Amino acid sequence: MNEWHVPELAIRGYLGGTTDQVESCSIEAHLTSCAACRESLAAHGNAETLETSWLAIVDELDAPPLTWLERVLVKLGVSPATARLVAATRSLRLAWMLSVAAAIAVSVVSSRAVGDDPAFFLFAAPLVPLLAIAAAFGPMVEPTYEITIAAPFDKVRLLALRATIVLGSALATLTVGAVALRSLGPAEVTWLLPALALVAIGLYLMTWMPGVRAALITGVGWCLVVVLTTEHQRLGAIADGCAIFQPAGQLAAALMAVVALVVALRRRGSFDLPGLS
Amino acid sequence: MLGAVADDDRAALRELYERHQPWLVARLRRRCSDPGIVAETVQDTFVAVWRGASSFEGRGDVGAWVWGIAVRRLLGRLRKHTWPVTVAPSHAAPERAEGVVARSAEEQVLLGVEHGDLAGALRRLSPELRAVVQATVLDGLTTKEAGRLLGIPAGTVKTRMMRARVELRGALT
Amino acid sequence: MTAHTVEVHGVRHRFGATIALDGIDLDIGPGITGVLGPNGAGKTTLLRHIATTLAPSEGRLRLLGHDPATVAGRLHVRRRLGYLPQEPGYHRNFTAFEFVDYVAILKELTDRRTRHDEVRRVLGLVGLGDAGRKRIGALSGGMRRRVGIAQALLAYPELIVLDEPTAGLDPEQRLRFREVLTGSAAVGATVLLSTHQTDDVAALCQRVVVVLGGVVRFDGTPVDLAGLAAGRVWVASERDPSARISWVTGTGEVRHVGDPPVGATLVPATIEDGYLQLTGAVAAGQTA
Repeated sequence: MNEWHVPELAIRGYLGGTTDQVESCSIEAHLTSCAACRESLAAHGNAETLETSWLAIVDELDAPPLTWLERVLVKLGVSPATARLVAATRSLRLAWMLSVAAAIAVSVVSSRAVGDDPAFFLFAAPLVPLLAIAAAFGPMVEPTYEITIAAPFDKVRLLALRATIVLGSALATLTVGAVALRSLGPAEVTWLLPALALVAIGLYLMTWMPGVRAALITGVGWCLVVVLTTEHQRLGAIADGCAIFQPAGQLAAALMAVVALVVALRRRGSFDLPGLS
Repeated sequence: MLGAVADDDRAALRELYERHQPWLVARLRRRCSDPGIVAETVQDTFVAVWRGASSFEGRGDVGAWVWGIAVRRLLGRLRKHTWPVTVAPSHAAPERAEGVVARSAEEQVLLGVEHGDLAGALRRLSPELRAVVQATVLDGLTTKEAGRLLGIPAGTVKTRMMRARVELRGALT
Repeated sequence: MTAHTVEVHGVRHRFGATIALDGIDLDIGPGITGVLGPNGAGKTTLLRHIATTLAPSEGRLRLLGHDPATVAGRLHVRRRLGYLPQEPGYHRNFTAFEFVDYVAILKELTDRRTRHDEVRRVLGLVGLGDAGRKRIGALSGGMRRRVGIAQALLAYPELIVLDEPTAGLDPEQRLRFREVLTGSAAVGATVLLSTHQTDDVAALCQRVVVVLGGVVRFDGTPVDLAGLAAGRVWVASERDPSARISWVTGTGEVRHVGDPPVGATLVPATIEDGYLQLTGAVAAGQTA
């Protein structure tokens, strides 16, 4: 097979596009199996193009594969670099899974309550978003926290982006769970303002301490408030018995949320430099 | 060498690249006039070679295997861009092309014939028939893929291929 | 006026009741400065202030002409800063390439191709060009340290802060590391590194700062540091209890630092001798 080789002139013609179609096909068929002719063709090549193209290949090989969450974000219009920062880490995926799992657990447990009593749901659901933001970013959940702080990327933005993903999925799960597993009532709405207040207070505390600790303190505080504002004999019936889920309590929760958000925003510099007083 | 590529050896990929990039570019240029698409196709091809080196079965030519990847990548790119394509509508027979793709017994007939005679026979084929022979026999495309490359329905590819076979057999016997 | 890139004025830092830094004053210019000191002396706390990840309880800093106490000042500094923390923490599921790429995004290198080229460059600098595809979790401690050094070199920082960069590196890698740092310093960067390795200081640093108990106890050239022990180092076959510090060397002799007795065989002092003389550390016992 390799006794015959494509003559130099024919190779030049082929590269220059002057060989006719039948000749070209002949040459191509031969090139497919003849290393020597491939080599003589390569001698006409451009070293620079060869190199540029090679670097592009290397870059493609090095490029980290997109995780599915990144792909979703890029589809939603987030820049690929930001999507990587926000969604590629295992810690974020862990936070995401944790809060969605918590949301499912709360939905399922409260759906089994006797007589469709929303007490457990009202008590537990506001804790899920709190867990979500605590798990999204902070010294105890982000392994490269120290490097992240020393980098120019806006930490408030990073926290906001990550919290949005985690919080958004948790809220969606809670909503779907409520619709699918329970009959709808006012309880489906009244937990939202307390939840917002807890998130805001948690965020404020995060300007002073690691997120996990901030969430713990806020969560314990929430338990105390629920117990204290519920008439003693009606602990099982939070929806009717707890002041938080009555109009006045809702208003108070809304106010708390606004105040906590304002003070948290005023201290947002501490996300940029922890321990800043 | 493909074994080394399969073992994550980048130097081996580089060597493979140096050997095959020039002719791949030349050959792709005859099927697509846009140098940008050709460059991207070649890059795609070697990335695919890197990731799929272990799937090379070890029989047949590496060249044919690489071409099989390249021509399909080109098709994929063309579908994305819908650029005008220049198909050199012609063809002569491959002296040897096992490993390009599984062939029917009739196609084997085509491949077994002497180079010179077949070239003559091919020259007598009409350009449309030659294009079909080129796409299926030489480029190793399926009827469907050939149809996409040439911009004609798969059914037309089939009927033209049948006509081409009849004409070729007539010319060669 | 001298161009000081790092100015530390009266910096104190308290962690609760513990005083980590007790009034530090330092002016540092371009070149390589080593920070020596025992564990817990305040080295890491000092470096964290200079790397803008900690705000001082008292005092102020000026870095690359900016005030890190302000948001804008910090941003300016961080854009020109490379920092290897003592415990950087790694995303273990990332490959070395992915990890450095991730940090590069944090450093605002948004264009993919430019960023990838830069990542390849820094991985190449620390000799990890080929190991870029390995998962961090599968790398040895020394290799992981090199990944940490690589990310600190991204985008040619003007201020490089490295907290124990040579921990876990083998001798060959340390030589390579020294070359890389010398290269960075040669183009005008200010490099600060803390270490326990006095030979790193001897080979690399134009200047050495010894931190003890949260204050600067020595600030000068490595030669000056060695000079502290000049005429106070001797070897003998027996341990001399009058020495401040003594230890058995690899050759079986006992090396002493302190006031030499009459007739002792004096030997030239090294940086380590000077450092030990300064710290008055407890005898290293039988360990060579």
